[in-house]
Amino acid sequence: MNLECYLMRIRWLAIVLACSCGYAQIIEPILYRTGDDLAWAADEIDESDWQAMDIRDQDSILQAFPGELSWIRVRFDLPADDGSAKDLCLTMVAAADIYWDGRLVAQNGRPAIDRENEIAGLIDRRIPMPKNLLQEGTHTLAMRVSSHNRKKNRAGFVFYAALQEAAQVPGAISTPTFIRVLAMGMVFLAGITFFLIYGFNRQRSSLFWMGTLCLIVFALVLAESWRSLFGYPYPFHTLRLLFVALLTGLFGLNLNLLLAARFRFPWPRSLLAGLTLCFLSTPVFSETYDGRSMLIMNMTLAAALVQTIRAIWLKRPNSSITIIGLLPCVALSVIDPGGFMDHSFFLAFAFLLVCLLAALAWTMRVERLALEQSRLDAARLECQLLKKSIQPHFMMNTLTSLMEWLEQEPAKAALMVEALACDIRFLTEVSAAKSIPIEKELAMCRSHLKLMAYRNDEDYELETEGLVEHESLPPAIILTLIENGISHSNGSTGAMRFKLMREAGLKGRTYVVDAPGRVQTQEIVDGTGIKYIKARLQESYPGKWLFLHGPKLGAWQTRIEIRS
Amino acid sequence: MRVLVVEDEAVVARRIVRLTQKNFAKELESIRVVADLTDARELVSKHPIDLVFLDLNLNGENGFELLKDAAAGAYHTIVVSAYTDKAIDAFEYGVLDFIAKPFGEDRFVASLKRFTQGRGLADHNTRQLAIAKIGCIELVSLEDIAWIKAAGPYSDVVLLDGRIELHHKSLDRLNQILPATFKRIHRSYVANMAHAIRIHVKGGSQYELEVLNRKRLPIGRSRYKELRQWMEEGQAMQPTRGSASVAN
Repeated sequence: MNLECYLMRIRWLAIVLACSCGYAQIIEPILYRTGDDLAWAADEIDESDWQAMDIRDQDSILQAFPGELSWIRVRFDLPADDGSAKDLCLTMVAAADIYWDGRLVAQNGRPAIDRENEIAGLIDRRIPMPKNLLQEGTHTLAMRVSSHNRKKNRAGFVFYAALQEAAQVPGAISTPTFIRVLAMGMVFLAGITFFLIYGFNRQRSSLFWMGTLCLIVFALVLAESWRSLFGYPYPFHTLRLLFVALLTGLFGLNLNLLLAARFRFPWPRSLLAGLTLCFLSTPVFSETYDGRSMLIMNMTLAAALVQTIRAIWLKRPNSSITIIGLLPCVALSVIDPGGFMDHSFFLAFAFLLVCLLAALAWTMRVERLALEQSRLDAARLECQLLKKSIQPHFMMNTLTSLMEWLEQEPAKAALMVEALACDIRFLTEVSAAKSIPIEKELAMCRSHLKLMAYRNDEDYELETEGLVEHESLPPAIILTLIENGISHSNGSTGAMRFKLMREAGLKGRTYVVDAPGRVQTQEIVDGTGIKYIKARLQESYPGKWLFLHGPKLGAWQTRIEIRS
Repeated sequence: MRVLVVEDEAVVARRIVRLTQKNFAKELESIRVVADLTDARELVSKHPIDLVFLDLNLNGENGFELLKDAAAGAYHTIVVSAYTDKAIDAFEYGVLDFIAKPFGEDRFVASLKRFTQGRGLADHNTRQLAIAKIGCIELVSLEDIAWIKAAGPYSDVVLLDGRIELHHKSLDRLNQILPATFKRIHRSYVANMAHAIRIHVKGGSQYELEVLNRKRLPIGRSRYKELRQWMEEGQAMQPTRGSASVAN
């Protein structure tokens, strides 16, 4: 029978026992008996009082290993000697004296009648067998075992006995272990790299969570590999499995929160709570840590899959590459649920990590391009604002007016020069800013109105209502509306009165500017001024603003709504 | 001299009025100011105007439409604009002068003298004539014009293909904005010398200019000498050797 395969399957059921015979055939049944008698080590004894252990039956295995002192007898049928050295490989959650054909060949800890006297044995034990003990024919492995330090229902029980080719180099690690160590190095390095990058890019929290994800996987692989790498006395087995379950849970939370953040889902808190609840409920469904870890991993993958499919449905960026990264994990965990955690998870995770990295790299690229664009836009807007104010129509007309005052009323000309200087000073101050306080904007408007009063020999007034102190706005927005209003005033009589109002709403604020005069032409509506305002609003409040204008009660009203 | 100022900047308009009144009090008959083109069109249609000071924000989409409109009128146009870079374009449409803002008194007076003394620029850059038709303004390239004949207060523009278009400007005013290739050969005729072939001398001190299609235009006695001298200096275009010559 293919016990390796069986082993994998039965692990899902929580209690595991395996007898394997890489080299030698095991003659079933395996016999056990509670009690203690050194005579039971002998090759030939009366086995009529012994019970057979059915390795397919959980209860049978539990009965065979009640924890107190008992004996187990396994018969091997050895073929003719092939000349190679052999090791007896034993795995058990117990302390044991090991007899081969009645001779004590090794001691794994010290079995005892009670807990105080027991010395825990290593969980895995490899015993080199002298050649003279392995002659062709039937041999008896008898073991005096006790496992007082075992918590019966948590760890499950592992029993594994086999004769294998002796290790070529004592202490050499096997290929699967080697791959795990490799994976460990990979994820550790990746995690450290993420933390370092995060250290210099604090605003990108996904880097931090990628780093923690990598380190959790590192710890998980370490916990999984600890047994084959370093070994430990059997009571630590439960502890290790507990760690594996906890780390699997952390992995699940981290991965799913990372995905939720990446796809900008609004549910991180509920997700955290829901997943934690699900993870904590696993003891209901599985008695052992292995089973719980498996359930947690399956829940993790299911949640990640659901989130990613939702993201694809919503056409969120990077959802496709994420699903590609997830698919091997999901497929392997379905095809081989027992072996997934032990073997394939690390490779599948490496693939997922590459996909997450690719997605991150793509996101960074998109953001970098957007940043470059926004810098360009900012420079363009600054340029636009400056150009708008030194454009010939404004500057040359101002200078012409100035010339007229110089010749007619030099005192007024001097005042006008002052106003012009003030106007220019304001402009150079604010042009590079992305936003300025409303007070500054108002001061600019008033300075400009003063200049225009001299230029056009008219009276201008600016009334305000409901403004909130220190509230900021992109520069020269109100100013541009006033400029448009003036160039459309059309020589009205009396003072021109502008009005700036702020209306607070549930969703944000609205600025209303009433400019006197008649309907503004298409030229103004599509003009550079309005384009400038819209570009500034988009820069500061992307997608959260509204620009409306039209005639209202004999004035031209402009409404700028900014949602918070 | 009846002047219209189209200017929306009150102080600038005041300046134009003041400088005109100060320097041309004798010639000035009336001066009016309007702030926009709608009012200007209405005023021009109701009152005879000789000279318009036009503030054109030529950066706008319809800047050139407005300019065409003004160029087709019976009056002369002096553009007063901040957009110096558009001056060449404005001249091509046949404005009398272009004053760049800001302008001093001397520059303004010099420009206005061009109007009052009937002198154009030494080498005017007009390239096309804007001709008002029903509902539209048509631009006619000067190269396509054979000659222009006085028609009362207006002018008949005779094209090479034989078509005759009526221009609202008088021959005197047109002459002020035409380039040097156009010569006043008679009280009632201005010829495009690029298309002139030869001068015919008839008895009794009568002279005729032969232009394309064997058409002959009268040459004023007082202008013959100057014209002949000009042709002999070879300044006229010479389609074939000796073709632009004096024939007895």
